Amino acid sequence: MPSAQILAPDPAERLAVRSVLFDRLRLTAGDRLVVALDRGRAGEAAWLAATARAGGVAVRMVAADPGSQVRTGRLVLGALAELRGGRAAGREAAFFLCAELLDHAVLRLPASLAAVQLPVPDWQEPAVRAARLAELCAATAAAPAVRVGTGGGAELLLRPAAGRPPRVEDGPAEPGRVQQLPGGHVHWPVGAADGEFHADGLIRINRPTRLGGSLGERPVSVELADGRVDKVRCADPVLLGLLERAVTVHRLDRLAAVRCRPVGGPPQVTLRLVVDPEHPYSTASAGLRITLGASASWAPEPQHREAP
Amino acid sequence: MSAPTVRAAAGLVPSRYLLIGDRAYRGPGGGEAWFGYATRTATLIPLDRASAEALRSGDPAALAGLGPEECGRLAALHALVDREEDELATVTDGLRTGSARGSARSVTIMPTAYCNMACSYCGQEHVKAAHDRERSERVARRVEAMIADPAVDTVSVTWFGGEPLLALRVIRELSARFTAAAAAHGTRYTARMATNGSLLTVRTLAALHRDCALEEMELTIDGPEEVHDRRRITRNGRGSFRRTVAVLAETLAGGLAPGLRVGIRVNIDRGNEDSVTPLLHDLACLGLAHPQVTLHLIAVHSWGNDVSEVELAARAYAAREAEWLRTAEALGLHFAPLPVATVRTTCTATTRSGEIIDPGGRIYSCSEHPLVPGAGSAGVVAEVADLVGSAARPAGAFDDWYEQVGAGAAQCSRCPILPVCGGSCPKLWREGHLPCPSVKFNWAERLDLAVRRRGFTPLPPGPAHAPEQQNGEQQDRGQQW
Repeated sequence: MPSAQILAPDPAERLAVRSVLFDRLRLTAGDRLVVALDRGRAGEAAWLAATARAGGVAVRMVAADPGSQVRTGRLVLGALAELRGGRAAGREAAFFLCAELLDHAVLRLPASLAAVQLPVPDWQEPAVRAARLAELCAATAAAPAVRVGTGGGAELLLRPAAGRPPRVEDGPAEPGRVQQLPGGHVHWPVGAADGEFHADGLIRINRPTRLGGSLGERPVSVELADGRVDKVRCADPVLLGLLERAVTVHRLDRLAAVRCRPVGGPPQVTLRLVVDPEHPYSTASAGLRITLGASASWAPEPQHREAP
Repeated sequence: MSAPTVRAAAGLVPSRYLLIGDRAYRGPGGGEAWFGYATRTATLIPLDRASAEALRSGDPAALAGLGPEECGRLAALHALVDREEDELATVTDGLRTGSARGSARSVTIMPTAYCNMACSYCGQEHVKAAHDRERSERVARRVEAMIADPAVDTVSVTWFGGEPLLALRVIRELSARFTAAAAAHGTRYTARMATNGSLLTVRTLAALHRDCALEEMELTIDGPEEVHDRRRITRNGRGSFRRTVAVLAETLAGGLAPGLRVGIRVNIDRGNEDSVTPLLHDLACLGLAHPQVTLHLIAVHSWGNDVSEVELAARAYAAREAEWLRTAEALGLHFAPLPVATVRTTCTATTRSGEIIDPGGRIYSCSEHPLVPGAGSAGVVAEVADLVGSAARPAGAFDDWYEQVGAGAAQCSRCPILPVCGGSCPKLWREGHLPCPSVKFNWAERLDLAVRRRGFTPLPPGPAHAPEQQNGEQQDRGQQW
């Protein structure tokens, strides 16, 4: 058994670590885990590794490359290969203790690999987090509208879809994507949306492109009217080109849902854009989905006001 | 081609087939690096500052300072060569040897002379004709004889047209015979197809891959829907873009043709050059940034017809292509920034192991002759009925191509990309056109893409990162190729 000193010092944190490893990632004895960490996160990495090893999981730690997700992905795959040796049995997972929001496709990880990321040291006891989510969900469900504020003063007014109340989602990590922790979010089906959303978090595109990942240096602004995308802006011409073609040609102009994930600071809000199901351009692009994330304010409106 | 024996650095000089980038990069490990591309081995070569400067300048003292280990590495990659070596002769000898190899036979079969499209830039003349069973039988027997020939280890068939899918039944019947013969004789058999894609269905594509040994298919998409359907107009007036991309995407997403490599060819001229970028975005949205799909951007050239009104000048095309490739890279579309292999032979016209059989049973050496008005009869080298068994076709008009290049009589004799190009198209050279591939003009931008793929990031330009001496010879060569 590992000594007490190398486990998380706080009982709630220890519970959170075990919850992530054995419930969310579903690791068991004989499985393999690589922990990729930023400078300054060695303490957390040590807790993780010790707890995983105590559960019979083989662990390697690698230093993430803050300048290159591709390089970080390569390091993780190399470490997994070392752990694997000639043995194929057992599950494999990656845990990223990295500030920059990561994307599975940009990391070039195989779709079969489960991966989670804790961008900031925000270990929460699962029961406390569940209570926080339930509270947020209840407050949101009771409101006739929610006002989402993002960078540059952008505001988006959301009204709920009739008969589809918000719900809390807190499923296990899925292979093929890097799940951001702390896990869980309020899923809010949208009835109408008006205003602007300034996305500077993460973009995910469910196509094998290299454009997914952080929007930190190439934020995207989306203007919506009545739940449909009206205008897109982005300084990156390639990303803008893709978004414009997606919206104008492939009819990816519907805001299907909004997710709000409470974390330590402002909540992470994500818009999920989908193709108009009644008028898809092609069967090949009908399943196209793009999600745009941002750190945002999330304010249930006690009384409905006009759109900004 | 073997590496020269490593002698004292004084005996080695930079290869005439070496291209050196002028940018410095920061590597994943933090160190600085420069890169060269040796076309004799089609290899991207990382260099330190001293090696980059020595190779650029060719200065004997600088080369001597590299040390035996580095000289040995660069010599093994043919970046450094023996001063006495006649590299042009080595390269053309290699091409001659590759062309003379009889163990790999390639046959392009045109099962029909008709096409359901009437593209404005196409040089072929399409005619409907009833399928002739007797001719088809002769073609089958010829390919079967190649497969049965103990001196042959690989036979590859390319289905070409016209539009080959108009003769799907013929393709299936012949493929069944060829795959059976290959199994019986232990010969490797592969097939590829050049198609306009308009007649594809998911079922057909999966069956061609599964039953007909189709390993590679190239289909043409000339732009987003409105552009493609205008340029590649079907005779019934219907567009084909949506249907074609949907079939492709569904087949790939469903894993229904797991080993098939798909090339998406974009024929580019003045009529669609502004539509390439939107097309790339569309391909990404459609899920075609798929590992099985490779993008081929091709400048429209004369096919015996006059395309001077729409043809893009080679350098102008190459400059725009570099932009498109950068966009394609960012989108995750697959393509090879630089050639990854040297050419064994330039084309079917430069090897008697390759031939084209038209629907009338005539054999050609050059794929740009059959169905082309005025060129068709001139290019015939034999009739299938006249050739016995697997005998190689008679020599065609371009089988002496390497003699011409080796004698220094062609521009290719002076070109540093000859080993990865082979001269591109002897027919176009003889007709006075410039058939050079775009890589000749935009290799530096392509090299940059290849380097970035390896996780290197460019350092800002400036004296601190620039090699001290510029190789004047290479600069000049760039102007004169």
